[in-house]
Amino acid sequence: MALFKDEHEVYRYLGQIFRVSLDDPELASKVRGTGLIVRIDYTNPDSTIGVDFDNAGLYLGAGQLPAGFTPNMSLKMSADDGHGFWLGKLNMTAAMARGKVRVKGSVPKMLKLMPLTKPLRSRYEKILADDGRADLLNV
Amino acid sequence: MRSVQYFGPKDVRVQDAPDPGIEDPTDAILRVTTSAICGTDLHIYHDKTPGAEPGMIIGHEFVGVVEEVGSAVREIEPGTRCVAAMYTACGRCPACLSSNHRGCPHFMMFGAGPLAGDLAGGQAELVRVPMADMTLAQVSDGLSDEDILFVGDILSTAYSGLIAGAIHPGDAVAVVGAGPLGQLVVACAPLLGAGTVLAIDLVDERLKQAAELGAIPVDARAGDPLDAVFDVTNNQGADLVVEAVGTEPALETAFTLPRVGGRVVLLGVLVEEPFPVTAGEVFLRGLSVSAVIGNPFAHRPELMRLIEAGRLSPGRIVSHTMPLEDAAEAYRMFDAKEATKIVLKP
Repeated sequence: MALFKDEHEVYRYLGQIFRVSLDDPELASKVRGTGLIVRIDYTNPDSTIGVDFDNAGLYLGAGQLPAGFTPNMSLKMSADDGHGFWLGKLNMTAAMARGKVRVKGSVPKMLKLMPLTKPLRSRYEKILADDGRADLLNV
Repeated sequence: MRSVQYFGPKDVRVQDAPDPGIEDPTDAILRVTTSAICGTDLHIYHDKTPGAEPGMIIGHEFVGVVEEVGSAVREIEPGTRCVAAMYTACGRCPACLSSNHRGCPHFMMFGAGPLAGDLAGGQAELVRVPMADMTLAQVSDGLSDEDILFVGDILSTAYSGLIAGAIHPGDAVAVVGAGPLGQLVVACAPLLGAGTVLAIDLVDERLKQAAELGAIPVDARAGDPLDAVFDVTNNQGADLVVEAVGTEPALETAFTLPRVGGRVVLLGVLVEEPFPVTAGEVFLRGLSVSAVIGNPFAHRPELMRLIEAGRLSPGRIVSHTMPLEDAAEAYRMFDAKEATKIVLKP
């Protein structure tokens, strides 16, 4: 059974951590100017998040992506795996090698981006805790 | 004699030219029975071949009957039916002896202009063939011109590419471009052990033909070809990618498709196109990249045996047979992708 009951929950939690990421001054200083535009398609439940790192743009839902939104990196994974990533429980490299995550785009850019997310994991846990979602924290 | 000559961008004409004669004792004169228009000829047609000169006779895929031989020719006699390799090689130098025939100091490509030896091409009634004992290969009587013709270039190129790409049994092979060369890559890959073959193109007829040869057709107009590759490789990417077009968009597509540690083989003719990925990307993904000019000398014996055994039927890619006199229209059709492969009959 999927951890998130619907796409709104995906946006509530995974969307929020992306918002936090974009607003984080340290991360923002590192990703702005990279031209990185990422689209993540989650399955189970189906949901889409778009992130324009240069312009701090965050789009929750495929229908919310602006015209001309052209990602240079795309990821496809289950929403459970997306959740696991932000909890630090998903080894992205291993997940790719096992075929759990579909990645398109520049590998060097992705390798630069991944470590930047590490300090934000505690923020994700706090988002869940503040919302009383111990069930999502203890998976 | 009548011959197909290049005069400028999209300007080829059938014109008279002097009959060729023996110039060196190792020469033969071949009376051409069938020639083909190759994708490489289209680079000349589009004025993208450095040094191409107006009036040069083009064409490097041809088969015919030997009319005359020089005094030093030992293996070929007048009356022998032969297929020519697309370029010459001496067979005796260190490069040839190490099977690097492209590196032979006597390398000359038929119909490709001054930078490739200034050797007249085979889209003509007659052609002079240097180093005939090596350049020509005798053809069994039972084989049609259409089946044997491509041994001299695109069939050998397809096969050479797969060998250079270190094809392994079970490999998922993605072929970018299902034109004539891509079709032959599709045909050869299973013979060398490919598990799954995907053919990527933009033309319905070519995708249909590739499917008939056993490939999974991938219409690049319908979406990102990488999704189709991911679908059959558990999101890993192709083990081996063969670029069989020679354009920047095809090159870009090709480099999106390999798995980590995968191999990319470039068969389409490239001149000034930049690499679409950085060296860092190639390094981090552990890619092996090979640019391959086919080697008919190394592979034509086994390819001819495969054709004789009925395991390969290269002639099936021929979509149009036209008189040599109609070469200008044939070039137009081939360029417009109205034909998969056109052969010309003098």
